[in-house]
Amino acid sequence: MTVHGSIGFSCAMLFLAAGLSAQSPAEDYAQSCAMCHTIGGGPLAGPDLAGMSSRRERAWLVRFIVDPQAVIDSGDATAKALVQSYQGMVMPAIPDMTPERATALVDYVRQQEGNGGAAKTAQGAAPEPFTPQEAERGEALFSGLEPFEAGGTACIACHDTGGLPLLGGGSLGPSLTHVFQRLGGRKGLETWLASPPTPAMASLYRRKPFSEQEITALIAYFEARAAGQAKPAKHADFLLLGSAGTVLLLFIFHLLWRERFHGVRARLVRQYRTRGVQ
Amino acid sequence: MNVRSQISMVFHLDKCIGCHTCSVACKNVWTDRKGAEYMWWNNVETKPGTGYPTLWEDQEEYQGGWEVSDGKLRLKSTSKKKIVFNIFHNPHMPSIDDYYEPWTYNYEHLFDAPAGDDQPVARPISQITGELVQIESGPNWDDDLGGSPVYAANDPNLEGLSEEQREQLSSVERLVYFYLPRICNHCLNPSCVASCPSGALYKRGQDGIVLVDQNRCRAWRSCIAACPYKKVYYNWFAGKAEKCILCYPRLETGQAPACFHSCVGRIRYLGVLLYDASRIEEVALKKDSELVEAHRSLILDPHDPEVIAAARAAGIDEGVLESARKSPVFKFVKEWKMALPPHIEYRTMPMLFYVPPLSPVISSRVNGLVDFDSTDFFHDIDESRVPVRFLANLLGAGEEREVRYALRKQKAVRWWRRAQTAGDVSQETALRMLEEADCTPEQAEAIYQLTSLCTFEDRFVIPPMHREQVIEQRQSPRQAQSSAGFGFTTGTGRSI
Amino acid sequence: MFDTLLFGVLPYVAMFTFFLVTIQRYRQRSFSYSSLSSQFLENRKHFWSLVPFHYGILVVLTGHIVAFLFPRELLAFNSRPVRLYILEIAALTGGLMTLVGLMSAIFRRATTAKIRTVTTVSDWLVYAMLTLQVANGVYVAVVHPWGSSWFAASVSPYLWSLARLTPDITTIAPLPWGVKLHIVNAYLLIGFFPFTRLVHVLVIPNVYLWRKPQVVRWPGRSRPYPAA
Repeated sequence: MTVHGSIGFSCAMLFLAAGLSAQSPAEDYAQSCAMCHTIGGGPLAGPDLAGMSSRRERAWLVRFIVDPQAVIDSGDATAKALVQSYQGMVMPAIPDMTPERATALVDYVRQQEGNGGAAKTAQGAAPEPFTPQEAERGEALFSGLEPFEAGGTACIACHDTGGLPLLGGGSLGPSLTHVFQRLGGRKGLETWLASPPTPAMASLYRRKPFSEQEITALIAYFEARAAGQAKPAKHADFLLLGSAGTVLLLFIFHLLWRERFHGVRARLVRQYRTRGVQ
Repeated sequence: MNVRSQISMVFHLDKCIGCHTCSVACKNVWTDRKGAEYMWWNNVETKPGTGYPTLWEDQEEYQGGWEVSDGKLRLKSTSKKKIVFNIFHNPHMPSIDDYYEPWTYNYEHLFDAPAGDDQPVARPISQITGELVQIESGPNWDDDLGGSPVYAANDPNLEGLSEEQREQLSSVERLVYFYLPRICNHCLNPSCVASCPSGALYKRGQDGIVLVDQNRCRAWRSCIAACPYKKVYYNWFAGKAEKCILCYPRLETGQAPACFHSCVGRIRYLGVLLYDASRIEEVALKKDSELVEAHRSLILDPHDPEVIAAARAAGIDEGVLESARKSPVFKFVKEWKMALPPHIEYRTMPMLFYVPPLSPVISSRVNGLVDFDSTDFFHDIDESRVPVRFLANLLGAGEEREVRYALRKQKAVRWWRRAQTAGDVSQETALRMLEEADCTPEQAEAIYQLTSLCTFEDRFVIPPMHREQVIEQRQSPRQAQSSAGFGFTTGTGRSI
Repeated sequence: MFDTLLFGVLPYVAMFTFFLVTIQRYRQRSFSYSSLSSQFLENRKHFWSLVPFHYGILVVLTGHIVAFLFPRELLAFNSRPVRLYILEIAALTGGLMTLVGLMSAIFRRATTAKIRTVTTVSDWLVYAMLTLQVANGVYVAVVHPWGSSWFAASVSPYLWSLARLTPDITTIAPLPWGVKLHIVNAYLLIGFFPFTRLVHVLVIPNVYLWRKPQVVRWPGRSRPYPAA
């Protein structure tokens, strides 16, 4: 394959990906929004979208959907207040979002409002409290002791909950100690985990989704952890252990090669000098 | 029997005057290049002395050559298993400090110096960095016993010498030294070849010359540590190992190698030896005390019809067989047993042999007078200023027997000639000495001829090599130019 | 688009350059394939530079290759947190060893006059890129644990998509800048590799361990002939 070939090939892939996202607003809503929002069903991880069109300007909505972080960074007061009310959590950017798609989504939501909220509503009465076994299973799933059925990676690779022993969990992703509150409790987490919206999570778990029991167990674990304290990541401990290993190995190298050649001529001359002229 | 031919060498130490002409000839032809300034493929050492690089004979330090463990031959430095772990840093490789930092002088300063009160001088500058250097060492730093309390006193060959003998080496009017010119021994069991991880070093099948394939050398440096004679050098600029090539381009055109050709004392002999390659390992496994004789037993008699038949079967050219029969090396080593391999205990089976030096004492003294008619002809060999023990450590793997034999024969031949020419030794005495030295008058004459009256053609019997035909059959001669020996037609790869 | 260029196009450009130039260089200038060792000019610091660096980088590279080739098995191994921690500490030790060796090598090269004379611009470029890569790698290992797991989960699928010629950057697109820099610099190193002394990696001795000790070459025979 030539250089030109590979460039052309990559461009072709790009267009293909763009083409795939051409879909109906309803499908788009289901894929991109429904895991955090309801229309009249109460807040999940994100706010209830019922009445959205009347609360905000249309242009603002489109701008926000296309790039939430940019709107917040621009110092927009509304956006800032929104972030504050959700404990600093920002709506994740939806991959390949365009103003056209965003407009279609806004229109779709308004239409659904008119339909009296055909979208999801809260299911039935309050669910039963979690059993300790469920929380335990949740911890096992989180730390990898029990594998996810679909083969998804254990959460510990990127997340910490402040309750793991020794070196704790990873910190590529955010700490999940207070995720229970942050993502709207049990209901919010259920929809969130059923189809994780952030790009990092989506890329890993859309194809290897969590089963319902797994979601329940994880939420149980998160609920149990929610009362605890978030611990700072143990970077220093980890670095210290690595450094100790390095020093130990260097010492072992020295021992293994202590007979290595150090030169003879300089030594002969030195020996003679210390002995003195006879 | 697996007959192979080897171009072998004899250096007659009794004739060496230590003039370094050989070293200079070699340097001018081969190592006058960047990265090779410090290399002396041919060098001349003063013995006793520590040589070049310093103390090269001390294998406790350098770990060169082979050792026998569990009845098997094993490289001392980096055996096969060890090479994997030592490839990043060779633990037994000498650094430039143990050779010397090559230098020149900033002669241009003599012309460029601004006007001043003092005469400008050319100060030494390093040939590596170009900066001013303090010269601390050189290739023949301990020449003629220079700095002997540091160098000569630490010669590893002094092992086993009495305190008196050691003292004598540095006492005025009694001290003694001789010269040891050294080139690559082109060994039969070369440890440099065996140690090369890249397989870049090889022995030429047709003449036994050991070469480094410069295109395959990757500077893993094992050969430098493995060669007990420290005759493989590292070109620090090109990142390649280099060594004596026995001037094969000259040999292939019928000329003697540069160091041989230029030798003032005519101490060097070159000729073909036939040997039995199937017995190398068996011989290399022998005890130290048997090694010299076993090594000699590898060499086959080119007059023996059986050997000739086997050699023909092995594809050895008639011209090579013919020159093997005329080989001066065969005479010195096998027929007369006068030339001995250096440090055979390293077990690389060197194919360069030395006739031990008899000087300076050749006669005994009774009441200050030379006594030519003593009944004990050879007692002075033990009283020689060069202790036999020393020579035995150098040339006999610690065994005095072979050295003594060579010295006795040399002395007997001298006295035989004295009886013929000067007449102060009786014919009877001379004959008796020859007999005791295991020599006949005919042999004595032959030894005398080849030692003293040898012509160019007597000393260098170079076989026809016909390499040009072989190369032309296989590849373009130009390609061959860069695939063997040393030197390069492309860049070093140091920069893009 | 920028991501696509860096992670979808650059790797192919780098690999293409790598193969084209290494092969061309080996065929036409095999003389230049050398480790260009400078141990001869300086022996002591050499030990403390080259030994930690090479052993460290062997550990680290092996880790990357294992995570690329056997992501499932690696994740299975990591399923017990204790095993994960031990593996991570070992990997970090390797990374720190590499860093120590590299720093020592740079110090040695900068301060020894003899070594400076055999140092070229491309050597310094290699050192700069390696320093960036190794320091960045250690940073990622410490600040974004646990790499052995998320590499297998996120980066391996991406690398496999590259290998299958269907580049899919969705799994690595959300990764933090430190990781992305590591990946991009790796491609730059691969692309620059064949122009530098790094080619010695490709000619590590292989037949030595099972060839006969002596090598004899006969005229007219194309292969080196093992001696009796």
